[in-house]
Amino acid sequence: MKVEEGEGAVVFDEGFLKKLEYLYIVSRKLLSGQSRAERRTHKVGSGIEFADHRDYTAGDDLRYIDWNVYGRTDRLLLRLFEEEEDLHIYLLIDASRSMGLGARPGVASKLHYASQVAAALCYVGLANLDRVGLAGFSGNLGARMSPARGKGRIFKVLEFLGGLRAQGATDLAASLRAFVHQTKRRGLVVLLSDLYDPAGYQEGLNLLRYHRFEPFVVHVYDQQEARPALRGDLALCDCETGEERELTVSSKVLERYAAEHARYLAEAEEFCSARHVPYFRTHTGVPFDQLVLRVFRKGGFLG
Amino acid sequence: MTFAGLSGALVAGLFAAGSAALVALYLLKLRRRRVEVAFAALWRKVLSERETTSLLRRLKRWLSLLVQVALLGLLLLAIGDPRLGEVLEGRHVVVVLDASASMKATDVRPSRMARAREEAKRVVRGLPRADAALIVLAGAQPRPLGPWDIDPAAALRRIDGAEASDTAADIGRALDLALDALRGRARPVIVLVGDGAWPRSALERDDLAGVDLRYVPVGVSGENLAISAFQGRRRPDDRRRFDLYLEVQSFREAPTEVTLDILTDGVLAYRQALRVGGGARAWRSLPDFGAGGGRIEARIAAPPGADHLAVDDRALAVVPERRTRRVLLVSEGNLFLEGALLADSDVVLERAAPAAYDAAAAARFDAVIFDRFTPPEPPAGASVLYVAPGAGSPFGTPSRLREPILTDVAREHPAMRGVSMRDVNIREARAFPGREGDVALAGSFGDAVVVARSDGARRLVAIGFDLGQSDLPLRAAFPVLLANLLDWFVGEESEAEAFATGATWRVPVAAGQTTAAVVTPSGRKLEAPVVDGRAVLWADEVGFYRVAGATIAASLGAPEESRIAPRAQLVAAGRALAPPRAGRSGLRRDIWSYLAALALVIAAVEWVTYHRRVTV
Repeated sequence: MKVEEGEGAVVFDEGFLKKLEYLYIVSRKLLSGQSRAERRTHKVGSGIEFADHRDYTAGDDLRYIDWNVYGRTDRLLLRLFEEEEDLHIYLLIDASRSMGLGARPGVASKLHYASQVAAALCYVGLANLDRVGLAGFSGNLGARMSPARGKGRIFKVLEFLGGLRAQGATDLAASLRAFVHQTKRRGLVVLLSDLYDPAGYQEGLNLLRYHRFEPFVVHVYDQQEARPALRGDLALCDCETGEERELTVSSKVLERYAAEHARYLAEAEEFCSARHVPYFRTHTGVPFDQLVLRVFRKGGFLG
Repeated sequence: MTFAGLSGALVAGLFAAGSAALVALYLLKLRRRRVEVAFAALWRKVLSERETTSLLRRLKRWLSLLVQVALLGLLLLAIGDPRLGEVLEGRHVVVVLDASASMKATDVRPSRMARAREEAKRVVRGLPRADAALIVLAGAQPRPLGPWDIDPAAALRRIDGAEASDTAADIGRALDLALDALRGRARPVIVLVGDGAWPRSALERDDLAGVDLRYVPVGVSGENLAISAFQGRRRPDDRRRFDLYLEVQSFREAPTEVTLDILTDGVLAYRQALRVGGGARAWRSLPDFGAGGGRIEARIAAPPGADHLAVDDRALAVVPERRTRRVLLVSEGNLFLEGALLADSDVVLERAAPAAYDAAAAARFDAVIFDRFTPPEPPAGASVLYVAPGAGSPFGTPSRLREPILTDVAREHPAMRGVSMRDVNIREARAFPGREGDVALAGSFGDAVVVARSDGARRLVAIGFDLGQSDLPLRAAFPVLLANLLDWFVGEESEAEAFATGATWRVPVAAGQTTAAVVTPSGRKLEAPVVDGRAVLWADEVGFYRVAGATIAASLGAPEESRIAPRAQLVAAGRALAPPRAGRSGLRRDIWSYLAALALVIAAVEWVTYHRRVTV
């Protein structure tokens, strides 16, 4: 079986699908003992597990009044239960122009790499009977795939991922604002991006947090971006904004740039860590399955 | 500074145009390679750091432009071939290198000649390239070692070939040669390099006034001992044997013990220690030293440091073996003549009456004596002695002199050696008119009474009076005169034959030869022309020569060369001669190569700094 989508699109072949199956089996071992599709949300609702009390207000279902408490305290308190529901996993893939860079023999572009990681996570999620949704974004939220469950939907996922094109400038804040406004069901949001947003990534991530989503950040970068093989008199052009800068690249300049890039990555990690946002950094030279396993080991993504 | 390549104006014009082009290129925006990056914001941060040093960057950019302009300037200057110094007319410098025997002295190591060569080279090396040099070797026959040299290397090579000879230096002729070479040339300079042991008169001349005359003295010491005289003379009583006379002169202040060796044919025959006082002479007379026919060599050996010149420590002589001479006496009878001839054991005498005279038979004799008889023609080949000849003799018709007094005697002539003509009484004599080339051996107030003539290989002598009318036969001088005449006729001198270097030799050779093969002491082979039966050659080496098979001894012919004390100061044309001065730099001191090298260095530095991003 082979899934091909358009020129320059992500290609998922038979080997890739086998690797997904392997990752699924491995994930089962890592997550053994946990119930299937029984991830509790923090949503309080119609479950059977007591969660809390609150004051009664007019219109509340009288069935949930705790009469024992009323008998002792003369207060009408309503019993709250944790609502049990399917876990919603949203994979947001950065499809800006910067994600299309870095493709060369033996090394995939960042978009390709992010798509592979997304496909793997989707497969495992679908197999766990979670509801998995996908969306691409660049300057704004792009095409979306509605949440679905079951392994059988993986081909739709792959088709969706294959249709992603690297284009447009990154605007994380606008894209994620649109996402949180359009998405009623809260859940896990896996953000696969290089975080190259001139306006910054912080606002977008905070939006997810403020709207009670659980963000996961997979920060993808290219090693050549960290240490570019540039030399001489150059006109550097930003692939997204078109901004051009003239520069004579010397070894000293390169060293300064590498330090700046490292600092940028470290800042992103520090930002996420400070806000208890799981953060995974990888470059396109790392096999995507290793990254996925690292995500599983860290926990929080499944179970 | 002067430009020998492109003109200064052209260089300046090209520089201006090139600089303008460079500035224009620097003002033009550099077309840079366009590279797409993922996130320019990171680069912007790097650039913002760099912009804090923008002033330095601008300076670097201007520095880079200046380097390019400097490179252009250096290259154009190099093409222009600039020469430092003024446009000077070059000097013409004649270096007169003393090649006299005294330059072989070893008071400076390795020798004065070697030191003189070095000094001459120093002079040539110090010449600016505008100068031209001519090297003159001042020996007995001064000669230039080559043409005028503009290239110092050529002049240095010529100096390398200069060697001292065993002769005196004719510094006068060397100066003549130098002045001839400098005639009409600009800024003439003569540099004398030597020990200065030249006659003062040679330097006192008016024509040196317009010449910049310089002197480089060579030598430090005058310590020397020399054999100043060496003579072998046949004994009057036995002309087959000879006496030796030797004189050693000291040119030192302290007395010196020397060892005198005399070798015969290379074998030591005599050795004696001699003490020579300071500045004095010591002599030795060795009577009846031996028989003729061998090479005789005298040598002296002095303590180390006492004798710096070796060439005058040798003196050479060859005493030829005396051979029998056949003499025909054509006379009515003359006991004086017969007696004197018979007393000489080397003479084979035959007599003939004038009536029986046979000219053809007479030609077979070495000498023929006509006593009061004059044949119409002298015999072919033989030398002839006429005694009281008549009008038909080759010496012309004589005039009568009554009781002449012999006032003039040619003492230097071999025939008159050891002969005293004082107070010889003559009743009547005939004076010969003579002709050019005749030598008056004896005369009376200008009238030649005894005449000698060389006619090719044949020699003729006429005695203008009857021996019977004179008391000469009764004197001791008569047999000596007769023996001298016979020796002269056959070419054998009474003294050992000793030739001197630096002189033209005339060596008798066998009749009929037009050239004579010569082998010098150093083994060089020459061919000498034969004129009037004598090989003519000029020699400058002390030693034994072979000339047409015969051996000839040549000793140092210039006793003044033994006086080797150098002169530190010379005076010529009324002024003390100063050392040569270095000339002012002329046009040939080129610097284009240095400019090109500097441009190369700057280009290399610029290349390295560019690639290390130091200057960009």
